[in-house]
Amino acid sequence: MRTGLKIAWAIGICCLLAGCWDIKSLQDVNYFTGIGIDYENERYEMYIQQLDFSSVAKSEGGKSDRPAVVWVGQASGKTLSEAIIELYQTTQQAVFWGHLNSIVFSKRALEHADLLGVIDSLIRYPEIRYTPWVYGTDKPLRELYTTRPFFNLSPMNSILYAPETNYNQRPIIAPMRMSSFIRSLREPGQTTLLPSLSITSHTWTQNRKPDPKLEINGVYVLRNTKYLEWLPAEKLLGVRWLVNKKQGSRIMLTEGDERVATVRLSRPKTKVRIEMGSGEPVFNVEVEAVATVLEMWKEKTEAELEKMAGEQMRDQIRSSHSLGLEIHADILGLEHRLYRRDYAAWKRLTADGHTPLASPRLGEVKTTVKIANSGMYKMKHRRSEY
Amino acid sequence: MAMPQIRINVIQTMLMFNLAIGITNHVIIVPLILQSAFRDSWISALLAVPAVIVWTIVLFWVMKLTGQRSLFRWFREHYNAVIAWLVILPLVVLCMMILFVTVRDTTIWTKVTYLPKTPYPITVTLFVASGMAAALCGLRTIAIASGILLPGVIVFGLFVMSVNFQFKDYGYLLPLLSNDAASIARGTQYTLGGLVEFILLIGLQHHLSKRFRLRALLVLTLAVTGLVFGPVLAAITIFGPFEAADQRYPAFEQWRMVMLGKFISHLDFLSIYQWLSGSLIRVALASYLLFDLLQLTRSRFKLPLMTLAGFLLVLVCSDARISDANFFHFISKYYFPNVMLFFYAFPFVLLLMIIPKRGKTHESQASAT
Repeated sequence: MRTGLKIAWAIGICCLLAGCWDIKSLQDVNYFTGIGIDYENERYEMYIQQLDFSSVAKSEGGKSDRPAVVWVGQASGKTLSEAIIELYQTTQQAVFWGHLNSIVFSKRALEHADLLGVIDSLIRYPEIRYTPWVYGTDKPLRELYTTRPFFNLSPMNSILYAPETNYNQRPIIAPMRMSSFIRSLREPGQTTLLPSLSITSHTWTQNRKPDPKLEINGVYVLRNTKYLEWLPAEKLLGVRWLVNKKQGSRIMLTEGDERVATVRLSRPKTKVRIEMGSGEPVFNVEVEAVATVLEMWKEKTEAELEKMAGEQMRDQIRSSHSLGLEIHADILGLEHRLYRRDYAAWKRLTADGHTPLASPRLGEVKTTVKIANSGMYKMKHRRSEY
Repeated sequence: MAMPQIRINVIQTMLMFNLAIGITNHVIIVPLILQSAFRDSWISALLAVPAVIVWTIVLFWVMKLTGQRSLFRWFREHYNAVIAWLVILPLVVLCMMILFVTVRDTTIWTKVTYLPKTPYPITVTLFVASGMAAALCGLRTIAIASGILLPGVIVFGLFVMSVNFQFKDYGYLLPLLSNDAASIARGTQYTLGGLVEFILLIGLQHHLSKRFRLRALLVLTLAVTGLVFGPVLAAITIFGPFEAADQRYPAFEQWRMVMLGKFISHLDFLSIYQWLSGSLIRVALASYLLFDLLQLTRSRFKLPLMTLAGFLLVLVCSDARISDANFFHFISKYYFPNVMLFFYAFPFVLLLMIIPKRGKTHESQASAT
């Protein structure tokens, strides 16, 4: 009898579980997956991307033969919240922000909006996490959100929502999540390189019609929350040897105009020694990496290739640095290295972070590339038919 | 006199305290340390270690010299009832404060994060009721429950730590000492403020079946000190020191980062298990001790009194006039600093009171056996 009572009690108490005030039926919810933030005439212009989640979930019948459907909402307000409330007027169902996975700032917003205010407005809301990817763009946000990936796949498979695999193959500009964006934005002496998203219609055609695709074409440079400049990816080749180091970078080697070879590098080992000569820091850079030969157009010895690759790497670092000096941006992250290494000197030279380190000097740049293997061909092979 | 034979062993005590005090160090004081010492928070925690060792040794001697007998009885026998009550009183007050701070912090967190639409008094009532029910069942129940809950808490903790390595950059721990000594000291004070709750050990020492060895006691307090480092280091390396210092729930934010590949994310519900396990054991232990210290464990009014206490607790915690900002101000400016000062000194004072009467201890023990 006692056991019976206990069982009844246990079952009874389980019934309480169903009476949850906060229950949401998954099918009755709108999921906002991306937001774009523009800023014009002192007003925040919000763009929201919503996906039909039946196009996201994998169904048994394989992929759909129709393109995934995307809705883009737009509203404006004095604050983000005001814009969102305007959107709620038409959402028809409850909105869930927990699956927000990308945040795009327009160039105007990066330049003029109160970034810390925007971050506060987003992160203070309990459903929004620090995990969304963050980008900047100078394309219309509506266009960005309606550019779809290949094979009628859901936009969840585009670089807007899943940039990592793409980056692994072409590690020039590292994608950034909200956590590292904020971490970098609020770090003394640090320069943030926010990936910029663009659309290109030149690369792909679908049945002869141009098929626009998203691309990461450069970075917006910010010193803390101050906007400095946009830089195209081609000019940033030296950055990857010091900041966001990653394996898989390629270097094309040329002799004058003549093509020689291309090598792919391991994750570089970088050391920056800071010499405090006459009160001004001089940054001496040392980079070491191991290479694999990808293509060889001209017969060269291992030693020659290693030397050329090293020189190429050094030139890239130097030209990125001088580009940085031109726009007064520390794109190689030298100032932040000083901040970490010698806090007192940093404080003295930057007035506790109020003024950026005036033209940081790059001293010696020593680069060493070792070739580890030559791919599927031998290093030395006949450059003739027979 | 027939002593109640509801004893728990040393291992059980360690599990129980790991949960009950671990939650303070792992969760409640993390935002406090971060907002005072920023990037140097982990140095603050490190500085607490020697202080903890000294304090633990003193605590050990208090336990040893009182023969792990009931503190109240010992002081009544060696001094008088008034002194005995004065010795017990701070512990009683501490238990009451622990109940308030824990219930309040846990339920507000619940309200803000995952049950925004559930009426707040309901959450508080259910939570307090479960804690009190466990306390009514006795120390042994609480100890056994700890043994069941703790392994899961540890496994999930290790999980969140390792999954988040992908977001951490330990470079953000440098430069060292970018904050002044006073800020770092404040961080240390919060760390110790959480750790001196181990004083509760002398409140239940007579329920232990064996003597606590110094080594075991040091392992326990140092392990819980170690718990401070996890969320503090992770918060700085994932979010940067300034963002971390602005977060209300830094430890929970780390759970919300968890991502494993493309398909596994949103695992923060597991933190509810961790947080509630800690809080529940903490509330249960504090309620049990509150009644035990007041010599009410065997009282026939225990049930009505505990219901009354629970009712008052619910009432105080759901007082709408206390905002979370008020509460946070209270724990950062008043509660933890004062608890730290008072209870850091407390075992030293007890030891000074015990040493002169030491000879008598052996006599009374000899006559008792």
